[in-house]
Amino acid sequence: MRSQGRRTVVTASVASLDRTSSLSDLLLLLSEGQEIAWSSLEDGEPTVRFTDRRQVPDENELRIDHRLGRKPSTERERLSPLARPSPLQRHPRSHHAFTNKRLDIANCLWSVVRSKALQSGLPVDAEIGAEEGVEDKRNQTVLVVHVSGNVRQALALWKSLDIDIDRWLARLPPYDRSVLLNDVALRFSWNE
Amino acid sequence: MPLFDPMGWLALGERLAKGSTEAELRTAISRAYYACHIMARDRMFGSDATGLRRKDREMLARDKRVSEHVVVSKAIATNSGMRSGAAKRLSDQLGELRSMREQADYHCNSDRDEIKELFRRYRVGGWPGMANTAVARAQSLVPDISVLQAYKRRP
Repeated sequence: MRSQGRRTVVTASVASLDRTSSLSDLLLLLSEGQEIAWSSLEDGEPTVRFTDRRQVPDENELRIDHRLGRKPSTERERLSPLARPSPLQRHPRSHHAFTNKRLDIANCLWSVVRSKALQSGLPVDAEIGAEEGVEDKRNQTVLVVHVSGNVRQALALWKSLDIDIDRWLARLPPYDRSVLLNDVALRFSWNE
Repeated sequence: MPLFDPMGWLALGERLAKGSTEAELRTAISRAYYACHIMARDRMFGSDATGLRRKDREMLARDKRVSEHVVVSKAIATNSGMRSGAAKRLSDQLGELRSMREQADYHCNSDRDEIKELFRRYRVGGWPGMANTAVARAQSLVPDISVLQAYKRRP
C-alpha cells in the first residue's frame, strides 16, 4: 500500500493465482468487500488497484450530493466515482433510484465493466442515471457506459461481461440479486 | 394465413431509419423495439403469448398493472434456458430499446428534458442518429433472441 497525495492506492499482484482464476474473479471477490475500483496491466503483470474508501476522493471525483441538491447521507454516496449531473437525475421522482443498495450494486457493476474494458484495451467512461417508464412508471437505476470505440467494439464488450456477471449473480444474496436483475440496468453508448 | 414474422418490422425500421422525416425516424425506433419484443415474447410463450400461464405471469409481475413489456423483460432475466449473465444482458438491451421507443412514441416536443437527455446519453445529434443506433441495437439482439427457449423459471 502506498499513498499518492490524498488517495491511498493498494496494489496486489495476481500473477501467483491459480491459472483457472481470472482477474475478473478476483475483482468480483474484492468488489463484494466494497473496496475494488479498477484493475490494470503494469509491466505486463495483471494488477489490481483500489481506492481505500476511507480516504477523501480527488477533487475531480464528482459527488452525488451536488446532483440531488442534498447532503450525501453516507460515506459510500460521497465517494461514488460514477456521479454525473443530468437533467433527469434532478427530477424529484428519480430520488429513489439512488438508494444506497442500488448505488452499491451499480458501483460493483462498474468495477466489472471497467475491469473487462481494461483487459480489452478499450477506453470507457460511465455515469449513473435513472429511467422511469412512460407507460408503467417503472423506475430503474441505469449505469450508462460510454465506449470510445465503434458499435462492434462496444457490443462485443457488453457481451464479454456475460460470464463475469453470471459468476457475480451466483454469489449474490437473494435480495441483492433481485436488485441487480430488476432495479439496476446497464446501458451502452459508443462513438457515432 | 401464415404467421407474421416480426423480423418484417425490423426490416421496415431499417428502411425508415434512412428516411428524412421525424415521423419516419421515430417510427424506425418503435419498429426496431417491437420486432425484438414480440420475437422474444413469442419465443418464450408461443405465438401471441398464448402459452403465458397465469401462474407465470403472477410470478413475474405480481401487480396486474405491470405491462407485458416488463413481464417479457423479467421472463428473459429469469428463464432457465439461458445463463443468467447473458439473460441479464439481453433483458437490459431490450429495456434500453424500450426506453428509446417510449421517448420516440410519447413525447412530441424534442426540446423536452427527457429527449435531450436521451440524445446526450447516446451521444447522437438528433433523431437520425437515434434511429440508427436503435436499429443497430435491434440487429445485434436478433441472434440472442432467436435462441431463447420456452419459458421455465430458473430455480
